[in-house]
Amino acid sequence: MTLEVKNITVAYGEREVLSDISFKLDNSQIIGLVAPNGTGKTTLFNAIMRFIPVKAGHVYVDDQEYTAKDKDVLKLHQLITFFPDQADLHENFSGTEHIEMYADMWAGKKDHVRDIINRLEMDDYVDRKVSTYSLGMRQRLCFAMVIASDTPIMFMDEVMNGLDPENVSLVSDILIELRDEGKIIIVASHLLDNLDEYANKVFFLKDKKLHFVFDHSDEKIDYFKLLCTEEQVQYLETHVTLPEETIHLGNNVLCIPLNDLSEAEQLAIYKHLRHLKDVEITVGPLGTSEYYSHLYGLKIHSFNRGHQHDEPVSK
Amino acid sequence: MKRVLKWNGRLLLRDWKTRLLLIGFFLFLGTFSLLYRQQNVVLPETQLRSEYSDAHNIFRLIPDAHFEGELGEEVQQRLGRNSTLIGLNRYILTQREGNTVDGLEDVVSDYLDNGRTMAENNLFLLEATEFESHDLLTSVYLPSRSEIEREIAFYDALEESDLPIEWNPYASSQILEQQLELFVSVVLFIAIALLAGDHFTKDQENNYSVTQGLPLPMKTQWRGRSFLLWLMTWLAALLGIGVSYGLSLFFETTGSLNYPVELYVDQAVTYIPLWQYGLLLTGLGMIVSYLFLLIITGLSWMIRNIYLTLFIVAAFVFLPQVWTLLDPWTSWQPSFYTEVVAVVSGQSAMQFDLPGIVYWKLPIVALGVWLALEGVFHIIFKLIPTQRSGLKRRVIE
Repeated sequence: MTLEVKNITVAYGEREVLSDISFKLDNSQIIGLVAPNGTGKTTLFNAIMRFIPVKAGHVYVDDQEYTAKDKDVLKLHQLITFFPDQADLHENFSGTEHIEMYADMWAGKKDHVRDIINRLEMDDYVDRKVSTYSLGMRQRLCFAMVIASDTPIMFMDEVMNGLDPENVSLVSDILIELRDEGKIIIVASHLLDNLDEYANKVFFLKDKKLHFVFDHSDEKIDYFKLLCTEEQVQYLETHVTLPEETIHLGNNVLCIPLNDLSEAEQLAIYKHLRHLKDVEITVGPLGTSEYYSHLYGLKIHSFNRGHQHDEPVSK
Repeated sequence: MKRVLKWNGRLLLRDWKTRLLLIGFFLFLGTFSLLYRQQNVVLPETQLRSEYSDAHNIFRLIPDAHFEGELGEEVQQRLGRNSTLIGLNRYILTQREGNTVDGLEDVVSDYLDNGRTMAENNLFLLEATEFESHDLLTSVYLPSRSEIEREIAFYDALEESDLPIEWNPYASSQILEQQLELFVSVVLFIAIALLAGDHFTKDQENNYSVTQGLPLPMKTQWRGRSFLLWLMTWLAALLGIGVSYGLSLFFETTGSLNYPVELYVDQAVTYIPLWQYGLLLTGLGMIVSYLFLLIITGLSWMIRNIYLTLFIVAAFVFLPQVWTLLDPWTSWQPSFYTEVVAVVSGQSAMQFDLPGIVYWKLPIVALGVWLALEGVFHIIFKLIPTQRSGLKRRVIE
C-alpha cells in the first residue's frame, strides 16, 4: 500500500494555509508530523481525508487517485481512519460500544475488540459509560477505536494528549506493532522525543510548506548536546574552540558536532563542562526536538532553575 | 445500511429526549380512550333530539297558507312523517338494543328503514321547488342532496354488514376511529418534528469527529436516521393505540370494527369497514410521515436550528391552506396530501373544488416527492460545507 499526496494547496478564501505539499509513503511506516500550533497539521489531515475542499492537489492510494467525488471520498474513508477527538465521544455509550462501532463500521467484524481492550489495559473501565472517563481514559479509547477500524492507513492527530508516561510508552509500542503489520501511520504530536522512538521520518511543516523531512534512516553524526545557560555558553566559548558547525538552539541547548573533533578535543570540552555547575550533557545525533528548536527558533525564556546566579560560572 | 440502523438506533434510544418523547407519545395515545371519556361528546340520541326540535320549528316558520293545495299537503305530510320518524329513531337509540326494540317492532319499525324513509322524504322535499317556502326549507331544515345520498348509502352499508346503528360514541371502535384520525392529522406531525428536529444536528456537532469519516455516505445516514425515527414513532404509536383500544374494551361497549366509514373515491362517497379505513389511514400516514421525516432530518442537518426546522415543517403542514386563496390548479399538487384524513373523507376535494383529490393518488404523489427529495438532498449534502457553521473537525491548526 502507498499513500501519495501531490501538490496539495489549501486556502480559506484568500488566506493560504498549506501550499504545494507533496510526499509519498510506502507501507510499514510511521511518519511524525511536527509543527507549532496553527501551522496546518490538522488541516493537512482534513485535506487528505477530503473533509475540506482543496485549492489544488491530488491524493493517491496505491497509485489510484481519490478525488472529492462522493464515491472516491467514501472509498478513501474505507482506507483511512482519522483519530477522533475525545470531546466528540458519545457520552451515553460505553468504551466497548465505541470500539465495537468502529470495528463494525470499518472492519465488519468485532472479534478483535477484546484483544485491543486487553492490549491497551482498559478492562477495568471500558464497559462504563464514557461520561465517567478521565482525559487519559478517553484518549486511550480514541486510540483503541482507530486500531479497531484496522484500516491500512491511520492518521493519529495528537494521539499522546493527556496520556501519562506509562501509557505514552504503551501507545508507542502498539504503534510499532501496527507498523510491523504493514500500516501507514502519520502521527501529529508535540512529544518530540517520543516521536524519535518509533517514527521512520518526521515531517516539519513551516511557512505553509513541508519544510524539512528528518529521516531516521539517514546516516547521522553525533553531538555533545548541552543544556546550559547563556553565561555558561560564553564561558565555554572563551575556553575552548568550538567547531564552526556548532548549533546554538534557542531552548538553551548547545549542540557541538563531534565528527571533526579528535578524542582529545572531545575530552577537553568534557573537562571544561565538568567545571560548570548544573549543566546536562547528552551524546548522540540530533533528534526531532533539536530540529524543531532549530527550525522554529524555539526559545525557552523560562529556563531558570533558580540558582544559576549563585555561581554563574565555575572557577 | 444495517450498520447505520444498528448504531444510530442505539444512539437515538440512549438519548433521554428521544426516550421521553416516545414514552410521552405512547402514554398520550395509550390513555386516549380514557381521556376521551372526559370530552363532551354529542350522543346520537341528543343529535336526533335537536333534529326533532328543528322538524317542529319548521312547522311554525312556514305559514299555514303554504300548506294548502296538493303539493302543500304532501309537504306537510312528509314533514310530519319525518318528525314522527325522528322521534321513533330517537326512542330506538335510547333503548340501546339495536335497530329496533324487542316487542315493539311493529310500533317503532326499524332504525334503518325509518332513516331511509326520512331520506326519501327529504329528497322529495328538495325537489318540491314549487312549494312556496322551499327556500326556507332548504336553508333551515333540509340537508344537501349529497348528504342525503350519503345517509342512504350509510344505511345500506349498515344493512349489508348486518350491523345496528351505533348508539355509543364512546364505543371502542368509535374511539379507535377518532384516535386514528387525530393521530394521522395532527399528533403524528408534532411527534416526528420534535423527534427529528435536532438529532442529526446534535450528532454532527457534538460528535463530529466520531461521526465524520465513517465509511458511509451522508445519504445513507440520512435515510437510515429517518427510517429509524419513523420506525420508533410508529411502534410507539401503534402500541399506544393498541393499548388504548384494549383499555376501552374494558370500559365501554366494543362497537364493531366492521362499522361503515366514509371513503371518498371517484367523485362519490362509498362506505368501507372501519378496520379497512384504519389500515388505509395508517398506511397513508406511514407514507406521508416517512417523507416528512426525510425532510426534517435533512433540514436539521442543513439548518442546524430546531426552531427554524420546526417552523418550516409547520409551513409544509399548513401549505394546503394557501390553495384556498390561490388557484390550486391540479389535484396532483403534493401539498394536498399532507392532510390524509381530509383526502380520504373527501373534505379536501370539496374544500378546493377539485374532485380529483383522492386517496389512491397519494402513493403516486409520494413516490414523486420521494424522488425529488433524493435529488434535492443529494445536492444539499454536497453543498454543505463541513468546515463552516460550527461543523469542523477540531480547530484548524
